[in-house]
This record gives sequence, structure tokens and C-alpha cells, in this order.
Amino acid sequence: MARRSRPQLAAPVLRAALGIALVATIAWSAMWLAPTDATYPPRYKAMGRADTADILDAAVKSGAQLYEAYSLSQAVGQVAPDATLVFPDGGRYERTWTGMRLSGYGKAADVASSTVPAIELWGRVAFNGDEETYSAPGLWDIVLDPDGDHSVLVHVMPANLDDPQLVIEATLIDASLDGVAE
Amino acid sequence: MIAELAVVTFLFAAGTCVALGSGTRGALQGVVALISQAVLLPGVGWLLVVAHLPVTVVTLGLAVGAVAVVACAWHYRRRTHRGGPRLPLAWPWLAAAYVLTLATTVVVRELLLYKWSTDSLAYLNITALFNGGTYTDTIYPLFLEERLVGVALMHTPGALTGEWFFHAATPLTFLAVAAMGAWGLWRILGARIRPAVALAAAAVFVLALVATNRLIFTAFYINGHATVALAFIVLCAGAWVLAEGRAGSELVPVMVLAGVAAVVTRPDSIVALAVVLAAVATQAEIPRRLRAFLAGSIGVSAVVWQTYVVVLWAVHGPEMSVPAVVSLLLAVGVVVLAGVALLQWPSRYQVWLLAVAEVALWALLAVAAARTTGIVKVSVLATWDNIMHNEGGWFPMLPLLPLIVGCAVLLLRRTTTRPLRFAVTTFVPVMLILAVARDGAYRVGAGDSLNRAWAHIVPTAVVLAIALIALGTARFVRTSRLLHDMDDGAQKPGGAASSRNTHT
Repeated sequence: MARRSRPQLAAPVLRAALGIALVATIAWSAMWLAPTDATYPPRYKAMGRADTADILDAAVKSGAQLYEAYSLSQAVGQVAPDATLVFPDGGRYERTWTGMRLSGYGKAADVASSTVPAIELWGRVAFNGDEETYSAPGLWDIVLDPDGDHSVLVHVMPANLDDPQLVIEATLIDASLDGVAE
Repeated sequence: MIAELAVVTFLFAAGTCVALGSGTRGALQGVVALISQAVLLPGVGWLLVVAHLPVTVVTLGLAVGAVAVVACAWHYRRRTHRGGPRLPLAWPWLAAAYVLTLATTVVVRELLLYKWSTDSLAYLNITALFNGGTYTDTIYPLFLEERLVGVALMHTPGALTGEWFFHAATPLTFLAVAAMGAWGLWRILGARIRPAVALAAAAVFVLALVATNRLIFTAFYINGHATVALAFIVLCAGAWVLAEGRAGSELVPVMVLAGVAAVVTRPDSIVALAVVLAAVATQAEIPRRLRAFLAGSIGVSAVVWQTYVVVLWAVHGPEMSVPAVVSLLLAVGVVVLAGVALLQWPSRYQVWLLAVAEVALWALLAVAAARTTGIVKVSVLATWDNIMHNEGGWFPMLPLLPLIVGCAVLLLRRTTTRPLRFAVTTFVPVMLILAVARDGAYRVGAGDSLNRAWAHIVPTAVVLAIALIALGTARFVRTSRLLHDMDDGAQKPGGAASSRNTHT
């Protein structure tokens, strides 16, 4: 009898132990919820309301997060609303991250690409801002309006992108953009 | 607010039509309505995307409405041809589900409960493309391959209120996760043990969801994790209920919808679905035609979607994408699973087939670790920090839940839980292999991909743990003695000794 009772008892004991462990884990998790939240910035907190329903406004405030999905669309849109934006280097940057987002957020009326290299375009724009601060052409994406009214220069590398001066208004000197394609 | 309430009411009504058309009754009707309202937009809207039709609130509404009409017509046909009841609406359950839907919508909108990251902005950009009518002009293959369209489709109704996203979308999806898990436990344990235990188990499941920091975050996070978690639990827990014989074909349509929604929501979903459906397709207790229909429907949809992505690469990409082609092959593999489901021998050898598959995954991971320069090692170390040092915010649910599940799986068994078990125990090797495939290690922090993806599997793992704890039999008991003991149990009132409880 004793030999047979062991397997009969083993499963219930095991199940009871695991059940208690599961409930204890849940209770402990509940106790850790708030302390864990306290270590996170607001957008990663589990609880707590957002300050505003405007997620894009929240994105602006996030500083360094701008580069990934937001900087070109919003920043360029503010400088050059409704402009036609032309991307150098055959639109390479457009295809990797910029063009679609510009159109997606509705800040650009149109997006086009140009086969003119970015380094060549660098010499065709005159800056209204302090371009000496950002004197590394290779780190810039040049976004040009063929009409020359709303050309802007935007940094594409994720360094110090919470600086609002990263978007500099520029004026196109030589508007003859060969190879511009819609 | 009125526009949002109108949208969720429309989606809930369409979900109710799906529930009716599926032939559900009782509580399942409310649960299917909740799940359907969460997955209808991605589960149906992707067809508009593939067809390059305009994807707006109006066209999406028409597509979802068309599904609702077809479902109602199907219900009417079944009633007239088979003499079913005139109006089998489970009013109390539907009312409860609708009240929950409205309450969730009002609360998240009024309190502005939402979470976001830069990924969210990328998804919402596609939503903006849809609503702006510029999708077909500006989409490019890499972006589509990485972001897909599921999340964007979920948030398209946000345009009605002039916002970038639909506040209720993610919370309602997570509400459906809670509903599915609670219903599955209640349904099985209520029948196998007793209703009071079943209710307690369902309550424990819901408490596990609301007590876990990262699951609460996921419930409000603008991303596709909640949709994939829903697909996991609907497919795995649904397969468990089917295997236990406590539901039939009425559960399958919503399983298909959830699976298809996951396919178009996250790029790794097709891998996860292939794993889950491998277990479901070979589960002997589920009727073969249901298994085949499930794998076939999801597989064909996945093939269509992945073909669309591959064609986009071929037409617009600089060169063909290897991940896109691999995903297409995996989708074809899911279709093949439908054929496997129709055969008898795979079910007979399911234990061995799943064991071989799992060993193969670990072996593949070992090879990948040996041939790459530290991706697996860095990923494992980062995940260790995320879990053990709470860098990812899961502590203590992770690591304690894997320990509990590990003990339960090693020491207890129940044949019908294999789809749940296989999805859970293959999760880690699959995710680490994906890290190698994407050529990027996981990192320390709450925003890490794997750290967020735990939300896919944790609700399903909790269901598995509760199922084994409640119904598992000890593995270390010899079969002959086990059967003898169970025979004793069968002679007692309420003794659960059906063929589904044996493990011969």
C-alpha cells in the first residue's frame, strides 16, 4: 500500500508546489511593478498617462530619438512646408529612410531624387545658418527644393540631434539640377 | 470620443458577426467577438494593400463590413439548411464583452494611456501613408519588410479624430489576450475539474497579466507585440481546447484570423507561426480536417503576403532580399503542414517529430553561435542582464516563470498541451537564431527586440503552467501504474479518466 501511495501523492504535491510558486511569482511581480517603472523614462513606464495625445509632440521632446523616424519629416516640414524635396545621390537616402517618411507625415508636397552627388550639391547651396559648426559634408543629407525657396540641410547621423540648429535653411545657388527624377 | 466609440462599436458588431458565422455559443461568442474586433483590421486590410487598392478608413470599413456580411450570410445559411436556432446570441456574454470594449476605449482615451518608441513612429508613418493616399507611391521594400502593415492598419481609424493613431487599438488587443486565456482555462478546467477551480485559474491568469510590468506596457504600446501575443495564445490555447474536445470548428475561423493578422504585423511572426502550427498540425486529438484547414488558410495567406513582399523587392529593390525569400519559403512550409495534417503517421510520431525539431533548433543555434562572431554570446549576456538584473523590466516574472514552466514540463505531462508546450520551449532558440539571421545581437534595456518579444509568449506560458499544474500527471510514474491509478480515479464520482487523459 505504501509503495503505491507514493506516485499517487507525488503529482498532487508537485502540482501544489508549482501552483504556490506561480501565485507567489505573480504576487512578487505586482510588488515590483512600481519600482521597475520608477527606473524608466515616461514612454517606457507601464502606468501613468501621457502628457499629451500628440505623439509627434512627444517625439520632439524626446531629443535623441528624433533621428530614427522623425527628424527629417517634422524638421524639414517646419522649415520648408509644402516644398518639393529633392534627394541627391539618386535618392539613396530617400530609399533608406527619408523620402517615405517625409511624405508619410505629410510635410512634403512631393519627393524626388537627383543623381547629382551630395558632395557636388554641397557647393551649390548658400547657408543662412552657421554652417561652420557643421562642416562635415559627408554627414549631411541635402534636401533641396529646385525652386530654391525651401532648401534645407539636415544631419543624418544620430549625434546630438536634440539640437534645433541641426536643420539649417539654405538657398540653392545653382538650380540646374540635372537628372532630377520624380 | 464619439468617433472612437463608433469605430469600436462597428468593429465589435463585425466581430459578433464573425462569432455568429463561426457557430459559437455561450461565452465563446463574446470571446470571439473580442478577438475578432482586435484582428479584423490587419487580418482583412492586408488584402487591400496587396491589391494596391486605397487603404482608408472608408475602404477598410467596407472590407470589414463585407466580412461581417459574409459571416452573417453563412450563419443564415446554416440556420436554414440545418435547422439551427433562430437567434443563438449569447446576450449576457456579448453585453459583457461590449461593455468591456467601451470601458477600455473611454478609459484609454480620457486618461491618454499610450506608450511609444521610435518604432511606433515608423509604424504610424505607414498609417499616415494609408490615410494620405500616398502608400503606393512611396512605399519601398526594406521598410515594408521591416515594418509590415498590421500595426499601421490597426491605427488607421485614428484619422477620424485627426490623430496619428487609434488609442483603443492596442489595449483592446490585449483585452482579447486576457479573454482568450481566461476562457480557455475556464472551459477546460471547468469540465475536467470543477467550475470554482476553473474560475480561480482564470483569475490567476488575468492577475499574472496585470501584475507584470512589461505586459502592462505592451497593453498600451504602439507596436505589434500585442497582436502577436494574441495570435500565440489564440492558436496555442485554441489548439489545447480543440484537443481536449471542448470546442470544434467554431473556434477555427478566429484562429485563422489571428494567425493571418500576426503574419502581416511583425516580420518574425511567420517563423513563430511555422513552429506553432507544426505542433498543431500533428496533434492527433484535433480532427484532421480542422488541422489542415487551419494550417492551409494561414499558410496560403502568408504565401500571398510574402510573395507581395518578394515582388516589391524584385521590382523596386536594388537586389533580392534573402529574409524575404526565406519568409516566403517558410510560408510555403506552413502550407505543406496542411498536407502533413492530413496524414496519419505524423500524429502517431508527434512526440518524436517535435523532439527532433526542437533538438534541430538548438543544434542550428549552436552552429550559428560557432560560425558568428559573438552574436549569440552577446545576445545571451544581454538577455541575462535584462532578466536577472531587471534591466528589461520583467523581473521577477522572468526568470521565475520559465523555472516554473520548466519544472512543470519536465515533471508533469498532458498530451493535449503539446501545442502550448512546443511554442513556449522553442521560443528561446528561435529568437536567438533570429538574432543571427538579422546579424544583430540583442542588447541590454527595455527597448531590446527580444525583451519586447517576451510579451508574445509569456501569456501563453502562463496558460501552459496553469494547465499542467491543474491537469498534469507525473512523468516519473510508470505508465502501467499510472493507468491503474487513473482507473481508480475513474471509478470515483467526477473521476477524469477519458482517453484524453491517458498518455499511452
